[in-house]
Amino acid sequence: MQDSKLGLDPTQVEACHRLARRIVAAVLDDIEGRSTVAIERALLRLLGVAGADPEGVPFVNRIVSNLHAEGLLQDGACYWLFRIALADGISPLAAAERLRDYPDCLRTTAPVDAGLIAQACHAAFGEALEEIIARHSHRPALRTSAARHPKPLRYVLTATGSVREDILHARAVAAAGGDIVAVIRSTAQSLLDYVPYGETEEGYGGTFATQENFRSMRQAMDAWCEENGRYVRLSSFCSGLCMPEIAAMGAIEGYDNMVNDALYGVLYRDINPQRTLIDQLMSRRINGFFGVTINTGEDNYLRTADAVRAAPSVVASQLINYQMAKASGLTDPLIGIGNAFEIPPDTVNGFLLEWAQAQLTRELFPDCPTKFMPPTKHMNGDLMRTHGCDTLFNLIAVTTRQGIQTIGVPTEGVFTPLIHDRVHGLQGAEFAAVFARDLHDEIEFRQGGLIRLRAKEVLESAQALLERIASEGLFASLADGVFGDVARTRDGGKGLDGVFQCSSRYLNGFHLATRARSAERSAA
Amino acid sequence: MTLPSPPDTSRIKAFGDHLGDGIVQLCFSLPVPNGAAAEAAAAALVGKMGMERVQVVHRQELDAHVTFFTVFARCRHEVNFRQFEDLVPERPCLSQSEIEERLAKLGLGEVVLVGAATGTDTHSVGLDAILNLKGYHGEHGLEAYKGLQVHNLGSQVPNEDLLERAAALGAHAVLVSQTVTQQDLHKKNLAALRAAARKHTRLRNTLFICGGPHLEPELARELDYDACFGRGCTPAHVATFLVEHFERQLTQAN
Repeated sequence: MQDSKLGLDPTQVEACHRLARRIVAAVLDDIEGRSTVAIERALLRLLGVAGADPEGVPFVNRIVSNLHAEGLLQDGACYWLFRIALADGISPLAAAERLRDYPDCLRTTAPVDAGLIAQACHAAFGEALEEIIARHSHRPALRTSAARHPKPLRYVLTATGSVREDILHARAVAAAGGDIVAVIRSTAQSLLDYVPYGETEEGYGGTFATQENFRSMRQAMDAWCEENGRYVRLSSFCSGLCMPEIAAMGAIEGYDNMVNDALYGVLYRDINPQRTLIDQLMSRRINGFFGVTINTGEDNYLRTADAVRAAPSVVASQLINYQMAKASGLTDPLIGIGNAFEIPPDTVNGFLLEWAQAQLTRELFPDCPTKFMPPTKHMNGDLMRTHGCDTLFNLIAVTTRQGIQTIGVPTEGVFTPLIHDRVHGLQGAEFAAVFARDLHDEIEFRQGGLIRLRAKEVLESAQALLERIASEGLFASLADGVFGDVARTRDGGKGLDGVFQCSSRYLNGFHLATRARSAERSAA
Repeated sequence: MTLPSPPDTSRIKAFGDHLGDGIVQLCFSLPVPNGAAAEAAAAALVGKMGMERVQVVHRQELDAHVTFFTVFARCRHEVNFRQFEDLVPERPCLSQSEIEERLAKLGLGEVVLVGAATGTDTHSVGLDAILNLKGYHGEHGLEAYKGLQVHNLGSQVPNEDLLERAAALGAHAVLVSQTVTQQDLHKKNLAALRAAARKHTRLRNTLFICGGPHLEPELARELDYDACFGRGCTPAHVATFLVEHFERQLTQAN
């Protein structure tokens, strides 16, 4: 907190973090001891279970629904898979096939000592995770080599609906200096309680996130990197009903970033808050273990609520989201806290308010790669105006040294960007980054000036809001519509039927293997 | 000094510098490597569009086999503006106070509106802008109007849920928002909703209105909706349509 350009009071900042920790601790207590169908499917994927039947039902879904039909889901997929493997002397993948095709085996399998099952599970996950890490062991160095000085990294979205065309667009992004390519998902994929299978050529407003699409995109961008000597990161979206599965798929295919935000699913996709907060914990643990940077989605609140008025709720959410990420084992350099530039362009001094908010986000999370999003809500097809707004956005992104900057495109609000729109956006970002490179070091905000006052006022209101949430609890606050002007109840929304209480036999192989690993690390 | 005389609106052309010069600006990409051949191809393509004096002012490589162009050219075509003046009338738009006054005179009691973005559409910004108190860009949404009772069911609402709620509330009008139009997803969904609605006897006299940033007013006729509101439409446009519709209905009944 040294050198606060905003003159923030360090004790107040610490008080806010403390409140957020209290809120998160209560949520963790609440969801303790429960798992979800998506977590079980993610565990199977990490073990290497892949594929789908001719009707397109993924094998991992088949296995989990077989367990559910036999009334044994509370033991978890790991317990039964390794019990069958040990009882019949077969490999874990062969046991998975048996579970998939012959659910009767759940009734006929011989009992096996629980300690042996846990041991086998632990060992198999240890191996599976090591194998994934080894496959991508070259990536951390590539990421370091592709750091941008000065920050921020440039994050660009593609959304053609076809993975092949996304590759063409992603190459153009890379050539124009994009650092991170994120393929937007087909609309409403977040509501599917399964991950579609195979390479897809048809999507609505985006391209389906499938493991095969991830692989094609990764191969294509690795090839580009070989040709051009610059690493390009890939990102997708872990929000929705498959948060932990998408995290597992991203890890397996060597993705670098993931949007990972349960609250986004709660507010904008009406996903049940309990389901998705349980999913999020596991999803973020997977991201963190494999060194994947997450991005949170606070930018969205500013689209459904008034950006000037909603600023404190954004800061409160950022603080909660940050503590939630820490609780999942993520370190600061992997936590990309979200923020956006959404104040209406005709607001007097709106630029100063945006600057205050962007600087506040940086100072609250000094070691996090904060992610700054361009204007969208008020962008209306007036391409020149949008480009003008993006220029001011770029200036703040560079001058406040955000970690990641999503690139605005002139056609925002018209359609998914054309191949040259992104290049125009990237050129604008480059212009600000070069032309105003060291402005950051020249700036101090005047004491008693508008920017300092705004930051102070926002932080004070955020603190008051955190106090309220800490006393009511997060679930009750969500039901009050605290975030984004959207109200969601604890038992409402989609996906609660996929949550279950774990039995005393329950096993999570990922936790077994990673806890042992982190214990080893801290002993060493 | 006098301004140039207004042109003959039965024969208008695009212009940029002098009236009638036909100047237009075009931006596009071609799947070819950047170079002189690409430039010639771009110019030829623009020539085929009915353009003359084609100038490629900017070309840029986007990838080894993709090039972007900015082109200025003179379009020789002209159109008769008068025929559009008659064909496509400006959408009427009254002020909030005038709408409220005229709603009160209707004597219908509160006009019940039920709105949602249905199907898989997750976008709620447009729907909220039209319906919610806060509205958009300083203009209140329909919730703010005296005489209107608004129920906003939000996004991703199944068509059938919207119809059931509308029937239960005795809706005067159902408002459906659709944002995603890739591969005509919106048309399929809007047609499905309209077909399902015909089965609800309680919705026989209900107005069906669709809206979304990429929807054209003509879509209403194609899909049997009473009205369709696209880009640039505000809550007042929707309310004006409603009040004028009910006034017409009343006159016809008398």
